[in-house]
Amino acid sequence: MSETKPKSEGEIVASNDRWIMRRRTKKKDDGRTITYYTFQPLNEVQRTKSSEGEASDV
Amino acid sequence: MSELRWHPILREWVMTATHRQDRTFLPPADHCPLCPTKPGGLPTEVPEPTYEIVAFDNRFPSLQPRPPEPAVAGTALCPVQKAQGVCEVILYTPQHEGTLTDRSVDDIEKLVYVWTDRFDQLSSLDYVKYVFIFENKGKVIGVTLEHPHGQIYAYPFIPPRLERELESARLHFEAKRSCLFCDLMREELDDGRRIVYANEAFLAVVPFYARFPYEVHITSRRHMGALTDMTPAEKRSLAEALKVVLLKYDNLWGFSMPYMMVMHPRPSDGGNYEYFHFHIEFYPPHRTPEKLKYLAGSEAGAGAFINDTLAEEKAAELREAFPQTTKDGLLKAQIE
Repeated sequence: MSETKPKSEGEIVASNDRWIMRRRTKKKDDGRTITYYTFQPLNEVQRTKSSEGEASDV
Repeated sequence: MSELRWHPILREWVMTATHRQDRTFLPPADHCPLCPTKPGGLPTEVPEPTYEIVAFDNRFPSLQPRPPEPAVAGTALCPVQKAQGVCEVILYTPQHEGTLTDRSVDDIEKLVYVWTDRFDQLSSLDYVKYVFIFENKGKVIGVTLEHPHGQIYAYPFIPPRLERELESARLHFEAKRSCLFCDLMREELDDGRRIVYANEAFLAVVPFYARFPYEVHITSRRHMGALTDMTPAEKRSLAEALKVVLLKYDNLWGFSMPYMMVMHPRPSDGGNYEYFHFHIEFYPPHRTPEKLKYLAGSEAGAGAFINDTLAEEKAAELREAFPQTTKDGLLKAQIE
């Protein structure tokens, strides 16, 4: 089991009623493409949005 | 060196890819190139310390976006072409151990979304005519890396097997004004003996014309051409169908069943293929726990399959394997 959490970054390319899927594409050192997909639970997204909202209100 | 060589007798392309001879062969777990790169550890195919699901260009591709010039000149009868296309590897999980069967329905659902996005992305490339998502599982299939993964080939042509399926579907549609796959599904539902599993959106059967003893086809109940046509509810149902079929395979004889899993969507060449119907096919090579079905003289040399079993009996065996399903294909108890 992996101990670190994957980075939740990149373009939102899909979603459902539980999470959003993000896609992040990078070039490897040899020029090949690698695409990372991450899934962020909606409740986590909402928490992030509300904490950003609080910060901007200050 | 890689190129496409035309087979004028079968009228199909053969891909040559001599560099694939050098690919990594069953490395030990601590040298797995598909695990994430650990801090201070040897670099792997994934430079980051973890991931959820990853797709990357195969290091040993048969097809490349910027292919080399063919190594040989073709002739009028046997032309050659550059092997332009994409070969990707999809890693299901950063965990080295296990198989797709061990993933939860939630995880398989996420994979369905990734397959959908890869299909969409690769279909948009102007040189891609067909996007083929598949998984080879097990050493007897020739798997060279054990880490749970699948593959995608984005071909610059419609592969011959699919051309034949498309032609059958087109001819049926022209004659009956209905979808061949929808009509076959109706026959399977009416007969019932070959149903393995059924849910709201998908039906899994050992088809009447199975070529492998435990061949299973999963077909969407709604007429659709590709993963990109599916609703979120249908994607969830597909994940459930995959999980049930995979569990049944592994519980049939108590070992992780090798298989080839292939997806057959409509082509991506911009044509109108409304008569075609998305489906997934599984070909497990085992005919008993100890014996394999080989593609021998009749199959390889004549293209004529011999199946030593009856689809009706094999479907009944698969219904009995955990998680058990009723004659209608419904689960007898819920699974996680």
